[in-house]
This record gives sequence, structure tokens and C-alpha cells, in this order.
Amino acid sequence: MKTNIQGTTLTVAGIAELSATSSTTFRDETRAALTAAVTTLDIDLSLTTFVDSSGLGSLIALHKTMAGRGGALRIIKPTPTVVQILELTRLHRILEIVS
Amino acid sequence: MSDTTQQSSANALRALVICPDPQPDVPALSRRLPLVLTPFLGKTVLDHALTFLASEGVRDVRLLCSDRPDVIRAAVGGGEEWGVKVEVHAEKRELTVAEALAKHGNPVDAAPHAFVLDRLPQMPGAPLWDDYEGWMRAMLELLPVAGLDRVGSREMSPGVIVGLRSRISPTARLIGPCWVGANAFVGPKATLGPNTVVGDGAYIEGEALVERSVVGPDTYVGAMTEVRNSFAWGRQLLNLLNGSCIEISDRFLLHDLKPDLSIPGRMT
Amino acid sequence: MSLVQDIPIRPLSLGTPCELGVVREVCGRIRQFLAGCGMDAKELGELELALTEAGNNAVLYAKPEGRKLPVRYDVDVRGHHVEVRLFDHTPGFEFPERAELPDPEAESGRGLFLIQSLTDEAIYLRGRGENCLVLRKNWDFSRAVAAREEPKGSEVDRSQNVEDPARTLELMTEELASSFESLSAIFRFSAEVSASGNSPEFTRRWLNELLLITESDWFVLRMVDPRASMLRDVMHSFPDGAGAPTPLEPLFLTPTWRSSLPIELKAAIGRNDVPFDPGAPLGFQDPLAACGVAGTGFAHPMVVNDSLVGVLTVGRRDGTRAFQSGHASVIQTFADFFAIQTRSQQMQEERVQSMLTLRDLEIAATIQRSLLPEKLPSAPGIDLAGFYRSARVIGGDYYDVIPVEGGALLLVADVMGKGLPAALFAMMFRSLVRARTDLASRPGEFLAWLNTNLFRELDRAGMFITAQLAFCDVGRKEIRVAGAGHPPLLLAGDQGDVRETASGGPPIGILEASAFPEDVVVWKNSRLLMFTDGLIEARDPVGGLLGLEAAKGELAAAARGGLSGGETRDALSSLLVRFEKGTAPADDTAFIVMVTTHE
Repeated sequence: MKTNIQGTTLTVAGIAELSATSSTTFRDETRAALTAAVTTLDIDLSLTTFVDSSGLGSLIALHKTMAGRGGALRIIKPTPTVVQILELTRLHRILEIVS
Repeated sequence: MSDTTQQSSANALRALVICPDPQPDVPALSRRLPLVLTPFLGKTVLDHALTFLASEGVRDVRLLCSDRPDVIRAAVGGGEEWGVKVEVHAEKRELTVAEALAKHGNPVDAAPHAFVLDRLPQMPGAPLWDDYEGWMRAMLELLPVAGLDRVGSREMSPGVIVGLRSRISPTARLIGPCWVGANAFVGPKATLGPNTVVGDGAYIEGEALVERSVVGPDTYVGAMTEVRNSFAWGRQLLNLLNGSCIEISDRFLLHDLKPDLSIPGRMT
Repeated sequence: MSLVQDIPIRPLSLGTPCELGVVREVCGRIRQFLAGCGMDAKELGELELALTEAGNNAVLYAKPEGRKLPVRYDVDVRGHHVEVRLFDHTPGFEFPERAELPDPEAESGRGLFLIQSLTDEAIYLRGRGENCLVLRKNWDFSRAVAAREEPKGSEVDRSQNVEDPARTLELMTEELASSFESLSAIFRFSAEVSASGNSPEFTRRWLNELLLITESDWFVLRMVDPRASMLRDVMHSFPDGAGAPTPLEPLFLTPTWRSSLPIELKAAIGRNDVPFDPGAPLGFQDPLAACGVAGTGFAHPMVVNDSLVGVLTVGRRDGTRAFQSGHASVIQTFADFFAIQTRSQQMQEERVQSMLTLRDLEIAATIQRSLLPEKLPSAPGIDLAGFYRSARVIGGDYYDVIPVEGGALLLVADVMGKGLPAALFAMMFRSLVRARTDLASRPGEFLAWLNTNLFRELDRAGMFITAQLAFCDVGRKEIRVAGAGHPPLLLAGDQGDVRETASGGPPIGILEASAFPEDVVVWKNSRLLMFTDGLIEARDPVGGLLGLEAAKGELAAAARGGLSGGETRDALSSLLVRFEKGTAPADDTAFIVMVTTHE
């Protein structure tokens, strides 16, 4: 997992999977990387091939974190597998997806 | 219709189709499937729209959906059936045309043709989701235009169109305008029409009466049952005049022959 | 020249420790396995996610004692679907018919929704101690199977067949020559085995001869135990000086999850020959490595009709002398022959040829265990004891005691039929009984109601249930009994006089409208015995039946001796043991003893 801040945007990329064993670390490390200036959190899921329900939970947790500080979370270029899961669980209605 | 034609041919063969969210005045239509997948003359509303867009030379369609995009994606695939590249894009909520153009329009190319699928592009004068009667009227309006489109459909008598492999009892009475889909069955002394649409694989028992109504695909209508001003789909019976909707539990009256969520107009 | 036809797709069974870290790994393995069976990436992804959710739940919610037990995944590829059964040791989940999505902002609670949405069928069977989640995903495997049946060019010899006919001929001649001796050996073996059967001495003699023929130094023959849980060393032979324990430790087929499996297990699980030589030596944990003789050789799984019979491993001390195809095929052929022989012998011994797979039986056994009451209730004036013994083939016997207002309902039932369907009907029967305890005081009416509610399903399945219900009315000091095609209830007074109740109506599921007359007996110093036919139909070694009179006699003796409920039960169970003299029971046996006393 790589984080990169440009201006007010924090990009998190290089995530292979978000599963029960990795999602808590992902959430906590992302939160730790959030500086006060960040208003947009871009989660790049272009390399992510697996997301389970705890992974979805971590995305929602971060979404709430961002909403709480007046910012926004975006899902960037999710793979078709991940899109399927986001849509199936109707999370496309609360998470911004940029393809 | 001529308006639309000019617009789309003028615009670089791309279309943004906004698939509407469930509509407050026709809640029952989106219960089983997203609105645009509602049965409509043996196909879905979306299917008719894509067929038309393809015939107008559109080669690239982006569907913007917020209600069950996964189901819509499963229904249209990549658009191979229409020879059109179809992409389904999930949105947080139903976009306006302006929002759709801002988000999905390409500044370099000419603006794509963008519209909300609340009326069919081939019938811009017939709103689909204002009320149940409007939906029914639009279907009857499309009947003379698209009623004979499908392979194997034949006009049995003026205004009466019957689809491939449907069996109609010689003693059944079909009064036009009346449209029956493929693989349907109509029993002895049943009466269908006027102003009636019966979906694919429906089974109308003997002496039943269906008038000014729509019978959905794979729906069983029992012997001597009368269906008037209604939309019967599976076990659901919707009164098109007052919008009341009930679930029929007596299997001999109305019944679902295929209780899974199959998409209308798909041969499985 | 394998004689056992290759079964195209074999089941996979994986036992994993109860840890979150291994869930993804095992789900990935299952994915890989199914990819090999021809499933598409999309379906694979969906099933993998559903399995991961289920696997995570099995770990996260395991009971403290359950954490020590493995989580097992069984994968069965059938014609048009794959079935995965996951066994967990949690207290069990509420499994709604259609799970709903939680609030969109909720951070958890989507697991069951995903499991149901991503599979074509999801059934959750709750048992005591162990639960089973059955997931099915539709996929047409038959095409993939057909493709796999065509020979692949994986073996060098075969691929050369196509390219070079001259070389092929040469190889065949060589193989034929080295096989001549072996072929004749095999013919002799098969002739002899049909005359003398697979006695251990016979097996040992032939295995030693096999070592001579194939110029090998040692063998280990392991057979699967009847429950298919482990491979036991039944026979081995090592050259003098090898430090092998006798017998070798058994190898468990499922509950270990190690990256370096012993080669015998690898062969058993993968159903393929697993070779070893100095280039690819045995793992240091491999029990064969400890025997100090491993040079080169291979482990060969013995499989008949898709089920594993055992593993034969043969080796040479000298690691440079690899097995040529001729010798290898003698060993394989011998092993396959031996496996068929062993299996057909086992089949003959089986009294009932069950159509069920062993795993189905396990599910049935789990269900059945969960039906029995954990502890019998106690009440003033009533002393209860229950007995249950399962036959090797699971049936549908069970007993129950349900305390209700004004007394208790005693119940013994026997579902006619075997295996999973019988166990499922027993479960259904039990839930229906538990649902209408308000009818307990009118057992005849209760049976009629049960018959009405079960008739259609039982009739369709061609099965029926016999049952005996007894309501002990504490207030009126009487016992009201009704039976449905069941052996009579026995009642003994304290003088040792024994009477039978009339057995009432027909079995449940025979006639749609049945009446079940009630019999009322007075509650005195009496001793009541309700049982399933397994008790009176117990057999001694020469096939004689225990019979009703013997049961009556034992009960009368218990009455005269004033034995308690527990003592009476023990007396009856020791009667069984004395009578059977070790004969394996053919049927389930269940009975309840109740002793009523004056206050």
C-alpha cells in the first residue's frame, strides 16, 4: 500500500486486497496518513482483486471519517470484480466511484 | 420523432441514457426490477430504447443508473445484442441531463445525445412513468410501430398480433388491439382484448377474460378469472386506474410460472 | 495400464486451523481447484468471496472450545453445480431465508447478504457442537470433464507417442518385456485372491513378492479407516536396521494444514502418484523420512469408485536407481487390484448398501446427535432415563422428553429409511412436535395432527415414521398413550407383571386421514419402557433375535428388584451387550425408561 499527498488530495494505491486480515490495517494506516489539509481521499482500487464485507466496512468507515471533516472519499478505477460487489451491496449510492 | 433523429445523427454517435430511480407515482413497476427493465411488449423498456438508438446509428451508449445497476448490467451485457457498445455506470442518485453531460461528456467531442429514459426516444410524446395508465397507453401506442418486430410474430386478424410458438385455442376470442408474446398459451373460450398485452410464456386458462390489461411474462391466469384495467405479473395484481396493488395467494387465480428474477424478453 | 478408471473430478476436503489468517489461503486453493475443473473467473470470484465470508464467520464466532477444532471445507464438483460444505464450531448463526442489507452507513453486517447473493443455494444446518453451511453454485462442469478425459501430454512417454512412432515401438517392447513377469504375477495373484480372500498373511506374502519383482527394498501399506478420517499403517516392511516404529503413526486425512504434507497424504488427497528421489526428497517431518530408508520411490493412492481405499508406498534405498515405467506399473496395477479386492470384500460385508457418501452420513449423524435431549428433565414422582445407540448406517431414531404444563410428554420415534433423508425427517418431526406442545396432553390428537402435516412430504419421499407418545399427567396420576405403527409400550407393576399397550393407529405418512386411539393407564408404582425396534430386533452372532419377551423379562426383573430409572436402563443395555456378543448392530436403538413412585 502506497500513500501520496498532492495538494489537498491523499491517494492510497497499490492495494492487493481488502479482507478480514488486511482491512483494519488499511483503515488505520490511511487514517494516520490524513493530514489536516486533506479534503479528498482517493482510494485507488485498480489493482484490487478482492474485497470482502470487512473491506467494505473499512471503506465506509473512511467515508464517514472524510464526511465528518467536510471532505469526500472517492473510489478510483475499481476493477470489475470490485464494482460488482459495490453495486450488489448498493454502496455505489454512498461512495463516489470514478472509473 | 424527427427531432430526436436529427439530434442523434448530428451528435457523434454517442448517447448517455439516464435510467430513472423508482418513481413515486408508479412504485409497483420497480418492485421486481429497476424501472427500465419493466416488461414492455415482450421486451423491456430499455431494450426498445437501445434497439431504436442502434437503428439511428448510435454506436456507444453509457447507461447511468443508481437503482440496481448490477441487474441492469446483467440484462444488457456489453450491448452485443444490439451491435452497440453499452457501458453501465453506477451513480449515487438519478442525475439530471446537465449533470450527466458535465460528468460524462467529453469536452473535445461534440456533446453526446443525453436523455432520461422516462419516455422512449421513438415516442417522445408518451411519458412512461407519470402514472400507470400512461405506461399502458405508451405500450399500446408502440404496438403498431414495434408489434411485428420480432421474428415469428404474425397478425392473426387486424390488430391482433401473436408471437412465435404461442398456442391459441380456436375457441378463444382475441379482439384487437391485442398483442400476445412468444410461447404463450390461451385456453378455450378465453377472451383477450381489446387493448391487451400478454407477455412471453404467459398461460391464460380457458374462459378467462383479460381486457385493457397487461399480463406479464410467465404469468398464469386461472380459468374463469377476470382481469380488467390491470397489470398482472407473477402473483402481483396492480389496478391501473387507482394504483392499488395486491399479492394474490390463490394459485388457481394468478400465479408466477418463473419466480426468479428473469429479465423480460430473454430466451433462457 | 491402470485398471481403475480415472474419475475425472474428485472431491476436495480441506481441514484448516481456526485462524483468520488461513481463510484466504484455503479459499484461494479451492478457487484454484475449481479453475482446474473449468469454472469461469466470474463465478470463481463470486464463490471465493462467499466462501471467504463464511470462513471468516466460522473463525470469528467460534466457541472457545471450537477454536481448537479445525474448520473443514468439503468441495464436491457435480455435473451442473459445485457444492462446498463448511463445518464450523460456532454457537450457530440465525440464517434468514433472505438476508437484508444493513443501513448503508453501517460498517458491518453484509456477510450473509453476500453469501446468499453470490451463490445459487445456501443452506445452513445447525447441529450441536458443529454446524454445516452448504453452498451451491451452478456451473456446467460436464464439458470441462469431457475435455479433461482426453489424454494430456503431461507424461513424456505419451507425448512422444505422437511424434516418433519408432521410439514408441521401442518403449512398448521394453515395457512389455519387463511386464511379462509382472503380468503373470498379477494373474496368479488374482486367481489366488479369489480362492483365499485378502487375509493379512496373504497380503504380506504378496507384498514381499512385489518387492522382489520390482527390485524394491521396502513398502508401507496404509488403509483408510471406516470413517475415512485417517490412514492407518496396516502393514510395512523395512530392511533390517531401519529404525521404523511399529506401527507408524496414523496420518489424519483432514485436520492438518501444513504446507509440507507427508507424501502419503499428498497422494491420498491429490489422488495422484507422488514420487520422491534425492532431487525431491521427503520433507523432514515426513514419517517415512524418520525410517531412514528413503532413497527413491513413490506413493500410490488406491481409489475405487471415487473413494480412497488406501495408499501403497514402495521405495528403493539406493536413490540413484529410479523406478522405470515397467516396475512402476506393476506396483500400480497390484495396488489397484488389491484396492478393488478389498473394497468388494467390504461391500459384501455391508449389510445395507448405502447410496450415501460418507460425508452425507456425517451430516446426518450431526443432525441426529442434535436431536437428542441433552439432559432429561426431572420431576417429583418421575424418574427418567434414556438410551440411544446409533448403527453404522444412520437412520432416524430418536427420543425426546418435553416438560409441559401438568406433566411431561415422552416420545420415541423411528423414521423408516436411512441416511440423510431419514435424519432430515426426524429433524422435521422433532420441530413439529416442539411447535405444538399444547397438544401434548392429547397424544392421539397430536399424532393425527403430525400425520396431517407430514403426510404429503413423507408420501412423496416414500417414507414413513412410527412413533409412540405418552403423556404423563401428574395431576390425574395417569399416563395417556397413543402409538403410530410403533412397537407397544411396556408397563410393569412392582409385582413384575408386564402389560403391553395396544399399538394404536398406522404409521405416520401411510394414510392421509388416520385416527390414533389413546390408551389410559393408571400411574402407580410402575415402570414404563418405550423403545424403537432396534431393541427387540438386536441380533446375536448366529442371527437370533432378542425379541419382545426378553425385554419384558428384563423389565419385570427390574420392577421386582425396585431398580431406579437409570439402573433399569443399565440393566437393559447390558442385556443388549450380553445378547449381541459383539455383533455390530444393524439398526439404531433408542429407548426411554420412566419409573413413577408414590410421594
